[in-house]
Amino acid sequence: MSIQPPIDSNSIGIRWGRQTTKGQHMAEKSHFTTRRGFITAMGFGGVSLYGLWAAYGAAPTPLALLGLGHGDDHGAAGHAAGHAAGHGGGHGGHGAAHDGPSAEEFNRMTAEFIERYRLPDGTVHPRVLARTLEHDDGHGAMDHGAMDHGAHEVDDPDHAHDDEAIDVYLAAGMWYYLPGTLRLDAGQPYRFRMMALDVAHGASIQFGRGGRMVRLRPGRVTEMDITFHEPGRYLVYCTIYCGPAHDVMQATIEVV
Amino acid sequence: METNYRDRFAALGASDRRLLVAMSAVSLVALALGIVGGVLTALARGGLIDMIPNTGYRFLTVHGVSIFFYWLFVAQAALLLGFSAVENGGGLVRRRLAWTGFGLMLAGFVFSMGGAHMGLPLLYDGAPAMAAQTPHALLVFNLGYLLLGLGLMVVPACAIATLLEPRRTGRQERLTGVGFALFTWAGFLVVTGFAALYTFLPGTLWALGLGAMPANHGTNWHIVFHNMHYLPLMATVILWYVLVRHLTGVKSVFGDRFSKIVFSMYLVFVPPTSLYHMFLEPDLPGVVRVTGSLLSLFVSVPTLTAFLIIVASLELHARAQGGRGLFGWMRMLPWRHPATNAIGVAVLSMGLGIVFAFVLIQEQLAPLLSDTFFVPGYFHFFTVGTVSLTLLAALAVMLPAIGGRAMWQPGLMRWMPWLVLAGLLVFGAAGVAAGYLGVPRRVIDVAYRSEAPALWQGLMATVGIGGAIMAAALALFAAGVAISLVPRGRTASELRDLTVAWQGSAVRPGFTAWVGPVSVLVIVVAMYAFTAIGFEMMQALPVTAAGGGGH
Repeated sequence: MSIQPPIDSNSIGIRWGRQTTKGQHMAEKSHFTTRRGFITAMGFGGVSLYGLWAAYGAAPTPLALLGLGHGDDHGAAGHAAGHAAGHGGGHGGHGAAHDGPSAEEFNRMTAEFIERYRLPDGTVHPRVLARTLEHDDGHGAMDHGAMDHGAHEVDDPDHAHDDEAIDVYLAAGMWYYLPGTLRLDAGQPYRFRMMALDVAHGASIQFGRGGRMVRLRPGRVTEMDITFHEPGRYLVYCTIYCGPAHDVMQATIEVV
Repeated sequence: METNYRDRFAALGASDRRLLVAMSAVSLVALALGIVGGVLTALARGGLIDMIPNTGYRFLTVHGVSIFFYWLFVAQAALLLGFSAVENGGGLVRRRLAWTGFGLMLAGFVFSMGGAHMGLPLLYDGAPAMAAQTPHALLVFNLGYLLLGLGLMVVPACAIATLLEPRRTGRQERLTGVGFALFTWAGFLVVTGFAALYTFLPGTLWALGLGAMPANHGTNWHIVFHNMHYLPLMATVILWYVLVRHLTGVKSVFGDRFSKIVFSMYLVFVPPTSLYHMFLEPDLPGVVRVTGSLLSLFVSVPTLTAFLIIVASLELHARAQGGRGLFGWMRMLPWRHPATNAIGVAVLSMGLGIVFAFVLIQEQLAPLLSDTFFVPGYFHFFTVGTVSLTLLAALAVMLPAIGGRAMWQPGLMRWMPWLVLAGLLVFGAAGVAAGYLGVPRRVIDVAYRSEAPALWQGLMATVGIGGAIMAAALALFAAGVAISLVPRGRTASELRDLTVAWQGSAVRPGFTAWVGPVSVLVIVVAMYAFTAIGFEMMQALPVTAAGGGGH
């Protein structure tokens, strides 16, 4: 191999990477690490993370992106990825905040919910209650039957762990949550209906080794389906700055 | 065209110099205030000093407003004008426009600081709902941002006029690579200014009683925040480009056209990727979340490509100078110059920042990480390690060249960026770990009446210690640069001999440039690792949850 003549870098200009011209030896070709195409390709290196996302089911597979795979690939894989990853299927209506009751109405509904399920120690324990026939006629429309006013306040073990989600109301205001302490059953699905009553708040849940962050916008109902799998005492805390007492805006969920 | 920036800056007229010195001084004052606010906040969070939460939030407000809005953008404006002036070769044109814009920014700074001390602390996003009882405080606070926004639209107009002057007068056929980059930078500042007006005008009108309280402030804020977050990165890369020329004489071996294409990529890849800040918003449809995640994968393309261009160009020239080994050629860089060290740390910080940013862009990890300390844990790698150090490095070159004293104690100052990095690594490691564990950001006391895990307080104390180290080193480095605001006597710059001159060196076509690709590979592997940690932690949570954002 012959020794190639040096090239003044400032004369290379935009022709760098295309030095080989007719009659030049192949050895004069610039190394591939110094070519524009390689540099450009490497610049897209971060995009490769998509592969990991797809492997975890957190992104549509390439086939699904092209419309060739199963439409629910993303969501199905999302479930496989983990409990807390959510559906991942992109059905944005579920869990999205939506128009509904006003803040005042929601406050009243929350108060009724608390009154309904309050235990002697002040803890609120939403559960399926036995019903009296004469009142079981549609009062539950507000809350999928879990909060109907005609129910006796008697535990009904036969329905305590059925698959139907029990509604849980959680109101957030400066600087409190209502209810302040919830008692929930492990394995029981719950549908949390939450609203910030004044300014934006968070209603995040801490599990000791990670949390589930939740944002609430004022006057908007946010729904979230939650099933707790392990008994424990979990902190609910505000993760959106909301004023001087933001630090102490907290509640407790006791899972039994 | 002459490539020696020192001589080109030295040739600027007295009027240009006065403007650049004044703008640089204001930016450094904003940085100093922001550092004080930040370190007090970090120490209070860590339980290392006693402070009532409201005072802590006020310090956090001063920190965020001073650094994010005024230090980063006044310094950018000063450097844009300075480099545009030397790019033109004949100084600034329409200088009055620049003074007017600077006056607006300065007035904005005064208003913002005043607003930060009125009513409830508004942090740096100034949500109108938080000022429902004190609209006058929001009015003062927002007037600051509006004036800054106007200034950001006026100052770049001067830079654009200056950059186009050679073409207008027939001295130049087309913009150089640097000229094009500066032109794009100016355009982005104008857009940022407009975005600030769009975001903060509705709240101002409400405060004046001329409109309803804006319901979509949060969404608008996220869009302006995203651009204010990433566009300084573009400025940073441009400054690397010109500083590398100043420090080593090296310019891109790939040519101006390729650089122009890469700088243009910021226009394509940055604005559409703002969705990932909103993944927790309950109103955001699922399809938008998925699309937002996929688009966000491209956010690093221009930055990584520009980084590869610069590193490859440096490596090839260093090898032409006799540099050997995969990393050994780096020893030949002018490390005695503080600016070289600042850029070196900036590059490392950028790699770390990109790694963690890519964990956050996955919409299914938002319920684990958004609104946690993961966010400040990662973005300080960008705002402090990458952008602030680069801006200071550029000021360290510009200010002495326009008549200021040389940087104070360059032998000591060159170690300061590394001390910043040491503090940043402590701050970032503890902050990112805290984020994974659910420690919220924007909370002064994380004890939650002893209901929170005890580990949280330990992590926040570590963040406080790391933050204090980072802040002290950054403040010292900034003070060393600020010395250059003082006019020098007859002695020439002491840093003249700390650079190398590799321009015109014989680069052989067979030379390899592996450091850039290897760096990208390391970044990608780290992205995979930290993202996988997030997914695994999500799976381990003892709960099934769907909705409420995050899908």
